[in-house]
Amino acid sequence: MKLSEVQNLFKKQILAPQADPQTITDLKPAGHLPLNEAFEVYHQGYTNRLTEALSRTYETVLWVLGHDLFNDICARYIESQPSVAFNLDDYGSTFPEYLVNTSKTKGIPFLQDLASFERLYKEIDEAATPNPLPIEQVQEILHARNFKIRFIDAMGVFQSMYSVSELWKRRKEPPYMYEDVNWGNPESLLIYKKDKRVMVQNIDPVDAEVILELQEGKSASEALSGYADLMTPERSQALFQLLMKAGVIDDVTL
Amino acid sequence: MKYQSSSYRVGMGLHPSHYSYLEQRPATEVAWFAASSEKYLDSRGRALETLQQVRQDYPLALHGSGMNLGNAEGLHLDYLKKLRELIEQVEPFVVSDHVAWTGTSHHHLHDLLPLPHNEETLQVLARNIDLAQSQLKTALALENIASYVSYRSDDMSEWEFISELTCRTGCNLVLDLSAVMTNAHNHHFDPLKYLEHIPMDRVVQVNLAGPIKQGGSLYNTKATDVPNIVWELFKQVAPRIRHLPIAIEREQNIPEFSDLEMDVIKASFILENSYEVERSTELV
Ligand SMILES: [Fe+2]
Repeated sequence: MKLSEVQNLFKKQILAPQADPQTITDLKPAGHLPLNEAFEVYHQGYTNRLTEALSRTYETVLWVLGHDLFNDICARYIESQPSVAFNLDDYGSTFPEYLVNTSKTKGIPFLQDLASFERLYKEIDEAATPNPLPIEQVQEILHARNFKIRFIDAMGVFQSMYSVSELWKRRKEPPYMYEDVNWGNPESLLIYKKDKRVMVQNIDPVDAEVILELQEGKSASEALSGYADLMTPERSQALFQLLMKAGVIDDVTL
Repeated sequence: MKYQSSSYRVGMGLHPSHYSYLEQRPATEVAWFAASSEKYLDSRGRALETLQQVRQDYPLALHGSGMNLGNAEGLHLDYLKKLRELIEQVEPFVVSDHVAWTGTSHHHLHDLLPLPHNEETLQVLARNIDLAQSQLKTALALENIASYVSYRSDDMSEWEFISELTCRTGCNLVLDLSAVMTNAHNHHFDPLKYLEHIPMDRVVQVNLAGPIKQGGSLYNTKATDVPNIVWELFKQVAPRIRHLPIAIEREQNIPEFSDLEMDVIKASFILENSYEVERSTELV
């Protein structure tokens, strides 16, 4: 049997431990360890490593679901989603969408949003520590009639019908019923890195929309034009002050 | 004052749960760190920044588990390109990966899987290692792994296979004593026989970790403290390896930094003691 054939059979056996390892005729047990037990070790190792990777990224989802349900959902997700990244920690980019489609989550409405929030948080944490434009330089330009803002890489806006940050803040607490948390209100969040720390800040929903438009590359006056009745000159100034203080402005161009 | 003299260089793995502690630049008993290459290949944030900071204070080894040197389908050029960039950034004193396969080209299994010890595998490994070394512009060191199955097509022992591989590729070796202990127990051979037959002059790093016993078998989970059986083997080979960098490896259940540091200190004591034993033997 060629090495490539052996490896493909070996892989199938790791992924489906109920199959019979005797089908890989080139294998023999090591000492007293029967082949099916050896493959159980490899299968468990594979599932455990990927489950641990998911539990590191989706810590609050685990907190909400509890270990048994979380592990059960992960096992099914892992069966359906091969790992394609070298880095184990990158596994699970489609986990938020998977959570919507599985009936296992018993209709918890915020779960996909919570998982998406945790994924975004991870991406921002992994972005380089920003080196924002100094406040004095930003201030000079913000007085201009129109300008475009380029944001730092380590920044994102997150909008949800649910207060996912309320749940996220409790992820290190001992598990209790998530129903006890007031998660029913919509929220808009600015997530960004300041020095080496990731900050999560509640912002006004209209501010969030404007930031998203600026992020798309629109100029300040274009981004604000859709909200002319809400964004008074004072409110617009307050928003730019907020962005400046957060240190999320990488560059401003006239 | 640090315990370790320049002759006994014991290091340990660099773990994300210790980043906060290490970012404060504490004085430690650790002589060097082994970083898991894959964790840093795509990072531009905290992981890479901490690695770079640690590198300012300590020598660094890059120890990979994802190059997939035993893959019959060949290597990922993208992986090698990213590793090359990382090597340029942190200038490790050794770059290593395993004598193993870790998945097929489109499906990573994130495990070190055993290879048949035969001519076909030697050719696959030699071809892949040649490509890796030319892309990385760096010599690779290869580490032995623990295995729970073996192959009917094996036509040599593990130590013969490792020796032949170093001969053909010119690679150095990272010696995982826990994997030697695990395989010796599970595949019924004497660990000292293994150590007698591999080219010790090619060993550039020695790793110690914690296999666990379950049923009648050993599993090299690297999830516990280094157990006595591994310390005993380490004591026996200490006179032959005390000039080499030694690493305390842990992959799961990562404890507090100070707990792993205790194993670093213990390894340093054993190395120093091995010197005393040898000197007193000479006097007699
Ligand atoms: Fe290793």
